[in-house]
Amino acid sequence: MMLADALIVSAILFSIGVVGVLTRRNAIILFMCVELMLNAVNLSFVVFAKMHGVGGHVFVIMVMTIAAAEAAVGLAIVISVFRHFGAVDLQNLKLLRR
Amino acid sequence: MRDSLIALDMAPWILPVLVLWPLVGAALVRVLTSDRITPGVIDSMPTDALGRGGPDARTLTLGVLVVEAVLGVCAWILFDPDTAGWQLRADWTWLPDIGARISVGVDGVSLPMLVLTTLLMPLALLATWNQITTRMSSYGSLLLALTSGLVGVFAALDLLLFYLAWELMLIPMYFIIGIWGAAGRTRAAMKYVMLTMFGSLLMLAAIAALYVLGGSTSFHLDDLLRVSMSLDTQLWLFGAFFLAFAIKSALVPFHTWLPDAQFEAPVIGAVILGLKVGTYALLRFAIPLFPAAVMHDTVRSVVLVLSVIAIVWGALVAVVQPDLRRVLSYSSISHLGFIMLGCFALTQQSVEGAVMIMVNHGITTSALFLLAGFLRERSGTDRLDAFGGLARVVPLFAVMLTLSMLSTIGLPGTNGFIGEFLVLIGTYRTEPVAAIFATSGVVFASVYALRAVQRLLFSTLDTKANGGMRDLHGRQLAVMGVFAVAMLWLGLAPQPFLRRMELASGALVERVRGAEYAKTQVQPSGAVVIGAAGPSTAAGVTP
Amino acid sequence: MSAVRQAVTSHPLDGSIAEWVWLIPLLPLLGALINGALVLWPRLSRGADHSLEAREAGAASSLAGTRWLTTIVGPGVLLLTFALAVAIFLAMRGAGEMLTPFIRTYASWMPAGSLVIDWGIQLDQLSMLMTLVITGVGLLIHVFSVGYMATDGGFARYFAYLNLFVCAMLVLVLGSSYAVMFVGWEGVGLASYLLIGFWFSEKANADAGKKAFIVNRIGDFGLLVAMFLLFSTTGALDFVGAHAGLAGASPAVFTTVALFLFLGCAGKSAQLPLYIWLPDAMAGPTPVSALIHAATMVTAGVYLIARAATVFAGAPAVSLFVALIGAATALFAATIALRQWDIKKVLAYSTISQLGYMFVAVGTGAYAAGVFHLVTHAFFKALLFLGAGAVIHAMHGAYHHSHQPDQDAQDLRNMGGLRKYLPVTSATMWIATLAIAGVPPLAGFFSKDEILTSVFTRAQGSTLASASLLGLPGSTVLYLIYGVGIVTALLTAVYMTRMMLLAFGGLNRTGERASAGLHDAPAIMLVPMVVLALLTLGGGWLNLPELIPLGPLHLLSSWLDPVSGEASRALGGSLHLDHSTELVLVGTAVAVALLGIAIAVMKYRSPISNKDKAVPDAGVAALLADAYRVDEGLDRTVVRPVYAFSTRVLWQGIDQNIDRAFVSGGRLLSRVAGQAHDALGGGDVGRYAWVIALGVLAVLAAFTVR
Repeated sequence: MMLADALIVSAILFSIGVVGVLTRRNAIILFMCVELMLNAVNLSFVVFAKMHGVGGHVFVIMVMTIAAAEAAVGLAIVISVFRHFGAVDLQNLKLLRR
Repeated sequence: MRDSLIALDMAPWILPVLVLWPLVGAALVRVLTSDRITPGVIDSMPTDALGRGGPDARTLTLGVLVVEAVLGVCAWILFDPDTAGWQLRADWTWLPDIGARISVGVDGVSLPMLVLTTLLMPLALLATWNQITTRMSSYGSLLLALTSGLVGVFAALDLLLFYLAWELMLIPMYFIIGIWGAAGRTRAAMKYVMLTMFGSLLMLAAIAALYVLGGSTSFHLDDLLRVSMSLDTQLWLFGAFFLAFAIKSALVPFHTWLPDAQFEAPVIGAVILGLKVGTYALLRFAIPLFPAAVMHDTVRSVVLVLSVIAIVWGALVAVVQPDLRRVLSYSSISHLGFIMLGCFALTQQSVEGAVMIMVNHGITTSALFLLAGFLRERSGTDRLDAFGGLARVVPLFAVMLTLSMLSTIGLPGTNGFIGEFLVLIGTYRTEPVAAIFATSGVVFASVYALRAVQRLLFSTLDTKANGGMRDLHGRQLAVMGVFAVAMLWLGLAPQPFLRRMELASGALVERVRGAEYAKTQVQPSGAVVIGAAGPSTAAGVTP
Repeated sequence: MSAVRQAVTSHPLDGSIAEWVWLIPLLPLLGALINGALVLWPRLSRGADHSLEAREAGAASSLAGTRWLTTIVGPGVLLLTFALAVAIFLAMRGAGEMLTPFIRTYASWMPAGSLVIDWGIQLDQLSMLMTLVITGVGLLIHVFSVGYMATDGGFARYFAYLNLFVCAMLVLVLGSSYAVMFVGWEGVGLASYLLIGFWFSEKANADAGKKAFIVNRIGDFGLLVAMFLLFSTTGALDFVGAHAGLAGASPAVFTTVALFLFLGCAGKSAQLPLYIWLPDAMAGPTPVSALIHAATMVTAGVYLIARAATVFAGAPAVSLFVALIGAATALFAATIALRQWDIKKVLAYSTISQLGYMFVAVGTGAYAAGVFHLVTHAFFKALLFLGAGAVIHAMHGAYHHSHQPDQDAQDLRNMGGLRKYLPVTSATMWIATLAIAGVPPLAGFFSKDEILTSVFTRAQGSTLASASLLGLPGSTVLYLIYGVGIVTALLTAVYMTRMMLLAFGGLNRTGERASAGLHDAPAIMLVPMVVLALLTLGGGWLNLPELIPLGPLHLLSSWLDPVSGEASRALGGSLHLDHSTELVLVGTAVAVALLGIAIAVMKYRSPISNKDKAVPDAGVAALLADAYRVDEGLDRTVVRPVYAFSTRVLWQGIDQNIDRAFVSGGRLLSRVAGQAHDALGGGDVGRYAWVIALGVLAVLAAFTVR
């Protein structure tokens, strides 16, 4: 029971994150949504760890480390984007085209 | 001589050593020498100057290649012409999980090609001694890796090993063209690699399919030869192999990369591109593996027509080329038509002739590309209209060029004639119409060859600069002398070669055509005569 | 294998001097190698000199030092070869009746499966005769050349080529199989190529050599195909085996082999339509024209047809065709010769015309008559060319010494009255002219008469007469050929007399300054001419007809009988004309010859102006002078279109477009990929995210549904 509940929560959190990433344009909010998705995954890892042993916990630690690193790099990029363009609205950033 | 080599127990390890030694040499050259060379050394020549602070990369490379050549000659001596089947075999487990083996061996078809390669490499390096002066350590090691690939292709009996060697040939060649080539080298190298890669991937897929069809136990040619396949399967797989080899050997219409690659490549690259690995592989693998596909009417007519087109097309286009190198490339394309014709006509004579042309081509066209290289070394170009009357200035060069050109067009007495004649006479027995059309190639060949000779050597000496041109001397003269002797020797007394090919080509023909046909070889078959309905009765002439 | 075959049957020549026959082709080869080494040796040591002048001067001085060696070796090897040939000939005469050829194989050449090709020599009556002609006439021409080329810088090179030619020619006639003969066949082509372009600094000379080689290759194509067919029919390529193997073959095989063989012969012997190279070949030194393009190489086709008489005898229609082409060539070339101004061109077209006669003979199965004319023609035409050489030598020297090097030394309009200055040349050339015109009792009269008589004889009641060619009955064709032969004989007398009158008769047109320098050639050139003149006088005695019993009859015919007699009888039967008819024929021939001479004398009595002041020919004369403008026509209809086709269509059109197709194929691929990329949002990261999400959903859905 508890397993299913936890997984449902995890799925809801993940979906919120996905929708956020897809619909919002502000880079900071995007970041938050990505973190939301990561934590949704972490939740399911923890839940599965209850059944399958300690491996899940290891992965959670791993994901948190990566997320921290990612946040550091990502925020740095966002700051430099802001300095460059004066905004963090991704709608206007189409440099990949050229 | 032979006995003492056998006493040394050389036979079991000579082929593995032949394949691996250049790789070892490549590593040696890379480790012991460096690309960095004191500036100024090159301009003032000198081998002794380069000797300071470690061995000279060129000399070391040459040394490795000379050892390789000596080993090649030993293999030639060890080979017993009167024994059928693989000789000098070596067989080691390689990847036991999938049944791949390191299995090498030669027969009368591969031996001449292998020995030719080992002898040609040091000669070509020697002849182009001062033509490449940058990054010589890389150059030497790439050249050696390439040698290893070439020898591997000719010795491999395991298809996976063959594929490995096949690709090993490709990469060094890419760098040799791409680094030391002429102005348009990048594009030419790219085209060469892309096309060849495309072909080899098809071949890899076909090898995999063949492996699965054979029960996923072995990649060995002997095992795969026993796989029975439906005609459709054979056609598909043969198609893949054929495409790979046709591209590699530059059969019309896949030939356009060759003139570009040989034009842009450094001389030695052009020489190596002239080695007929593609047609060798066709004869070694594609034809015996898929006999039903080879004998299929449509396949045969397509290949024969393509061959005849290649002969005439190559010759006609060679007639209008502005540079000597492009003339030579197109003449290669024309020769390739003869080889294909011989391979697919599948009679004893035509197959032996095809192998002879492969060998001859390695000798004659190499000599010609080296000569074109000497010309460029002296005057910076090989455009035909930049010269004239050179026979007065550089008579030795003129003699060599004329001799090689005559060999190219198959003048009797030179090696070129033997191959062409055997292919045509053998082809005529089964495919008279194709043979007649192909024979017309001898006329066109004389047009392009004499045009080039004429433009370069005869007429008035027009430019003052050419008047000061230096004739062949020293190293170049010696190398060319070897080529001249080889051309005449193979032209006047080719039986040492033909004798070694006899059994292997006979076995090949028998394998594809069936034992029935082999029997009819003893008695000449009825000839097809223009305008005649009935076959003639053959008189009892014993062979 | 052949060795075994020989061991079984003993041969009258076993153990005789004929065992040394292998030396015959090897001696000239040795000469060629020595002379070639003399040319290249100084270059080997002088590669380092940087200026051309220094190098050439060095080489020249070194060559001058070895000139004596060339003088000895060049003609010397020919003398040895000739002596050996004579010795073998005497041994053959002494050995009595020799019905089978004497064959020796020395090594295996191209063994491949059932194909056996050996290096072998076949000595029989025909090859012996050819060897004697080649070495004998060759020796005389070598000696002549010592004088003719005395001041040429390429002295040693010249003799190297000339010896090489003799070697190849001997291989051609002595080879025991079609394949070995082909070595000589192409070898003479090569030597001819090198010698025509001997003075290669002139582009025209080199071009002429190239043209000769390429046109000959068209013929070689035919010869190759004939060999392939022979091998696939009989399984053998040696003359004995292949001809024996043909015994039961169908007529179609005979016809096809004969046709392709004839294509080869037509190329080498300059018959229609492959004659175009021979007039250009006159670019070579004149002794070369005498040896290669008159006496020996160009007669190789005649030799081959006589050699393959068995094949042609089995194909009467082809034989008729050969004769017809021969007749057409004879007439065609004779008309052109009427209006040529270059002395060598007259002789060149005359050679083509006379070769036509020989083909008429071998085409009608009169192989002995054809070979007879070959021999006599070798004498008188070599003499004419050597005479022309002496004239050109004199003219050239005269113009050179009077500092007018741009004057044409070969143009008949610049000659005239040379009899006074070159008496020996004039006398010997007149003998040859009368011989070629067919005036008795000179050699040409007998051989030409025999040809015409045999054509006439065969027109009734022979195999040939009952055969048909393209619907025409054989006898009509033969009468037509006879008629053409008579007309050609008339024309021959006219153009030869014209040439002689223009060159030697009338007033001198060389110009005052130059004419002082005109003088006869040195003895070393005159002696060979005198010897040839004697041979021309006495050559007829080789094969006297019954009508003129001045000595032993039919020497040559009976000598050649074991080789071609059977084939000859198969085609022509052994018919004899009655005496009166034969007398009429001979009378006609002589009358025609005299008439021709008379016409020429009437027409060319009046003085003409020299080249500079000459009025250009017009109308038919111009057409003849331009040799019917065949060269120009071929250039426009064949050569240039082929070049244009190769350049525009094959190379620039298709080849480079295949190339472009590969490149643009790659470009197209990237463009499509780019457009797909644009369609997916083109740089908007948000949209990428949507695509990814939808993709993930799709994958998930796919897995779930399954």
